[in-house]
Amino acid sequence: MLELPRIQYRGFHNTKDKDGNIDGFEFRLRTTYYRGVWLSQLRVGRVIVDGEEFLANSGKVTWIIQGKEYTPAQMKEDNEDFWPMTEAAVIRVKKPGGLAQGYHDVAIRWGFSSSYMPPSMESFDDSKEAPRAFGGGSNTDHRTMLIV
Amino acid sequence: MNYVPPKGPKRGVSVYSYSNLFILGMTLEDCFRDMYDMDAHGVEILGNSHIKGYPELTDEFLNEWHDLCEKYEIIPAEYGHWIDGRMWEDRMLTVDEAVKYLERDFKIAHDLGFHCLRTKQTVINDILDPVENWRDIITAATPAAEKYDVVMLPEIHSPTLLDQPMVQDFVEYIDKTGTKAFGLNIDFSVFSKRPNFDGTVRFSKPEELIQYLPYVKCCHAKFTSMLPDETYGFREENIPYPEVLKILQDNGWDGWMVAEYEGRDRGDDNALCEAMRKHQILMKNVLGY
Repeated sequence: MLELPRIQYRGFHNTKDKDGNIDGFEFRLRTTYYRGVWLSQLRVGRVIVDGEEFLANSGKVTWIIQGKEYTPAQMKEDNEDFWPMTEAAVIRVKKPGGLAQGYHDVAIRWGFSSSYMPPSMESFDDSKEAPRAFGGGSNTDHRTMLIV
Repeated sequence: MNYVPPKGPKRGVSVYSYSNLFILGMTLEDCFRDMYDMDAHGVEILGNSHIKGYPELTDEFLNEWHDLCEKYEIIPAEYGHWIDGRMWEDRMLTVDEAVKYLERDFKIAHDLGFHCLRTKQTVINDILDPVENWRDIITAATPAAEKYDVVMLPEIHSPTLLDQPMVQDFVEYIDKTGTKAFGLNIDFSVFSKRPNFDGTVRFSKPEELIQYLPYVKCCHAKFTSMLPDETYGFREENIPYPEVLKILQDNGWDGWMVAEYEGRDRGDDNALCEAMRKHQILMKNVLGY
């Protein structure tokens, strides 16, 4: 079952490397767009947690879609893999030590191209929020969530 | 299946109407059950949205599809798909790539029993003009469309109106080539008195539709707000359904009108059920079936 907000509460936790050390955190993101998208259609921006920014191509951020992990650069090149609208993506962020117990403001900026809409509605700029319309523009999703 | 579709305009539903709930877990069977309640027998699905496993067509989905159509007396009316010209950020899709993706959808649509395809083209400006090489793409995809017995239908949708040059261009292309693989889908938003995003109110008159009827293979019965009506039970707040439907009926048009609900409350299951039924009651009472 998916939750109504795009950022899902369930799935928000710290991650561990193969030696059991906390090396980051992850959360799940769903779409509210009425169709699934090719990964190359996605416009992947930064993750912002409590004001700390993790840039898309910093090497710290990956997206896991249908069980396969991608860097934003790999998603941009890809032309066959697909994100179904009924499945959440997992956003994984590298951060040694992870997030401390307590509340965190989790945000991610992203969009996608919709070629049947005017190009003016889909310009994406990772450097600033431009929430004109979801999908078109540089939408930023926020959710405040508690980590254990 | 006992159901035999009547000649004339027929009532159907686009699963698009259920999008908000479908993403959260509503199933195709839930949608078909709703349609059965309303005697709406034609369905539109969107390839990218409603086919589990897309862009593959699995045997599991195919079998489920055929079983559900049989059980709920549903006829495949229209398959929605896209030419995603801006799939990549730094360059446009080539004609060859467009044809490759189109053919994949043609085959899926054909295997699911669809003939009409709502083919969304890439647009280049705020009045929704298609890419300049749209003729090249359609012409190059035509042999595959013929092979799979499908017809590509660009959707004429507000803010595009029926008197816009684009519509004439499409019709001229069809006349000149004599193609059976390309036609029109009319979305009833073109008749809507609802203000556009920019606040202007512009709409086509229902009678403008008559000249295009030979090219129209499917319609999107768009609606956003249903109000009570003394004659037909309900009316659409901004779209003159009785006039539009009578033009289709009186001019011998034969095809599916698939309902597309875009009310703001469509994420509310009860509101959605009511709106869908009010809209079908209106169409049923105007058509007489």
